[in-house]
Amino acid sequence: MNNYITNRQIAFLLFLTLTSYSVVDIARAMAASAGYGSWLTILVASLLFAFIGLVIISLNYRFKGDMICDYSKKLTGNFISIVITMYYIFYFFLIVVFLNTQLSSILEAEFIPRTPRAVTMAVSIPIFCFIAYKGVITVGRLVEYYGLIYLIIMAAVFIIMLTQESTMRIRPFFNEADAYLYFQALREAIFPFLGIEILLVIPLSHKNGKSVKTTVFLAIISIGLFYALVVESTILKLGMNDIMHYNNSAIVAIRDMELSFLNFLKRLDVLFLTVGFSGFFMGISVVYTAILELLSKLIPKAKRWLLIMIIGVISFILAMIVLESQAFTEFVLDTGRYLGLIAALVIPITLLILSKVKKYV
Amino acid sequence: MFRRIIISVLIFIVSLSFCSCWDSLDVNEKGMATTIVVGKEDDEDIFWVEFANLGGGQSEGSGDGGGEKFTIVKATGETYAMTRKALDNKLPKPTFLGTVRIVAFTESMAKEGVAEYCNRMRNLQEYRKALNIIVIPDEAEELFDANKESSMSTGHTIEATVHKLNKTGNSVDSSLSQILDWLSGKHNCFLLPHFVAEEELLNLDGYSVINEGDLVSFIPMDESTGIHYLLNDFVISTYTVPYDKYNATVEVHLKGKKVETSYRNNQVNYDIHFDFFALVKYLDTTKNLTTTYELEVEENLADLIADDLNIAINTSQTEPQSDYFDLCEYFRVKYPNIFKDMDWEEEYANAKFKFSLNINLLPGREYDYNPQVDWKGKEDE
Repeated sequence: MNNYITNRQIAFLLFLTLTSYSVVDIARAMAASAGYGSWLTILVASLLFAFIGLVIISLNYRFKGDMICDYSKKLTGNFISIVITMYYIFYFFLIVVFLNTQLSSILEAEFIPRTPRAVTMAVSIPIFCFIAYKGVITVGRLVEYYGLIYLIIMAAVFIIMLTQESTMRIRPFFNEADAYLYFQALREAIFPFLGIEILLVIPLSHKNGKSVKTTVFLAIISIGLFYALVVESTILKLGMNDIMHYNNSAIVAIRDMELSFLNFLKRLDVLFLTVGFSGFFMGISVVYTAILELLSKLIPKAKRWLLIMIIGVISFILAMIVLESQAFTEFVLDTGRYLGLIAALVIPITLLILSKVKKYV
Repeated sequence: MFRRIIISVLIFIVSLSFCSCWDSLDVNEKGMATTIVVGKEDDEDIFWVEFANLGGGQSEGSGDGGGEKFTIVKATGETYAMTRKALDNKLPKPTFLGTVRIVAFTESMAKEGVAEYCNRMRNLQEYRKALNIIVIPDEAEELFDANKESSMSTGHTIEATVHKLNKTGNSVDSSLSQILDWLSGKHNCFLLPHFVAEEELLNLDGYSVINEGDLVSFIPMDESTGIHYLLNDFVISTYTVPYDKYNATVEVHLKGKKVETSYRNNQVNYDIHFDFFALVKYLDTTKNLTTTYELEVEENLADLIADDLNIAINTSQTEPQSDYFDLCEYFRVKYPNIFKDMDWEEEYANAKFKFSLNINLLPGREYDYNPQVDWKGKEDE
């Protein structure tokens, strides 16, 4: 077995981290902002984020075996490095609390309405923490298996969905008069691509080779294509008028499907309940892993099991505090995207420039 | 030791999650609803709910009708919420709506509007969004009585009828998800299947036209063939086509259609091309179908189909003035910017239609019998 994260694992890690939550609500968000041109906005956003991904992976490639807290120390000194690490810990905490509340909210809204959300989180958080405790390499191996199953099943579900209604429902594909709207909607397309900053805590090995840059670039473009498939098929299924009413639009669309020719699997929502949620679980586990790795570097003497227990308890308490808070959700979806841009673009690009100035090769 | 504790805790948590936590409930502890009828009487809302008796015993609850396998429970109230409360007060078990196959509106209720109850269904998570919505006469009990002898519930019987007809394109899509989309749109007009009880059978006798959420008119089944051609991609129908002094029974298959729309001099125009494949099933004479007769059958068949299409369009443009064919979608796709500012109902009422038909008539192809071949000696007779 490899003792480093392979390029394929990096691709699936990105895929699960980015799509796990966004796949549920991206169709509504894009339909409401870009309308029939959503696919174009998403593809343009994926191209932009593919370049951001290149910046991050170039940085990791320059400092093989290191993660952000290591090379930021070399580039900016101890104090600024600690500040940067603290920023990422805070940011990932924000995301992990948001994802936990969203997971319990989706489960409550769509599948288990009578089960208290606190119980859902009390059951799931220890599992995420256990996976994170096993470390980056184990997570990499897990996402490779889960990612492949998730990609095949979810792509198949959304492709089948595309055959369910007339394509009239998603046309015109491009309207020149709405071009400005498509451009404006890029703002909505930021959040679904946030998560690529997770690469900053993945140390690269010599064995990854230069092809890791191509892998990351193509992985993000593929995620864009997957999002476009999800958005178009969900709009096609629910209709442009009705999709606006559903936050969890992808789940509602999947639940609408009944395949009479599939006697053993007429209703496909069971696939989302199993494969879709396993992808979601892995996505959250990756973020827990990032927090643990950063904290372990910040407090090297602390035991990993103690740190992950503290992270688990704190995230549970924070999630309980903001459980019913609409303001928190709005804060993450709105301000969170700017915090994410700082984490995914501003800090990495600054560090990359510094590394060039200081001539790290 | 720590590892063992972690694994034990995980096994416990995973097995706990398999129990579905608080949502776990034995199927025998739920009242499985199969049909819901929503009606109106003296300013009061009425629910008739058909429940499946899983034990197969006598009716339970305080129903008016019912038999061994199914129980009908009726409840009334000033609002839907109050009616549901009244219904719950009569039932010993919590109602499960995931098994509902059909939701029917009585004509009185449909005239008041179907939107509110559809919105209610949108938010009642248990409802399948793929279930069909229909309209029935006000005498809802007659519907349940007609199905009394059937082994299937009323909901299952109607759903099976709709699905069977859908397979040959002889019904229209009336799924809840489709209706919710129509109701959310700017121009919401659509058709709902209308069922009546006839001689202990449930019969699809036409379509109710719903405009802006309210029932506005009724189209009988014998005027609906054109509607099927315009709304469905695949339709099989049978015509008795006159030729010379005889009649040919012809099965017509709609293979495809192409809708072209244009906008000239503030006038909406539609040019719709249909491709048909037609099969002569039998003749009412022993004489052969010659090539001359074949051409006559083809021409007369084209006239009959064109008549059906014209009836369908004229009805939609005059009586309710409603585009329940969703033809606005073709116009929206081609002229999205003009469409935004249009009063579509007015434009649709004045739209011009042109149909072109391509019929590929095949005499007796499917069977081991060709009416065109004669005994050679017959020519000498």
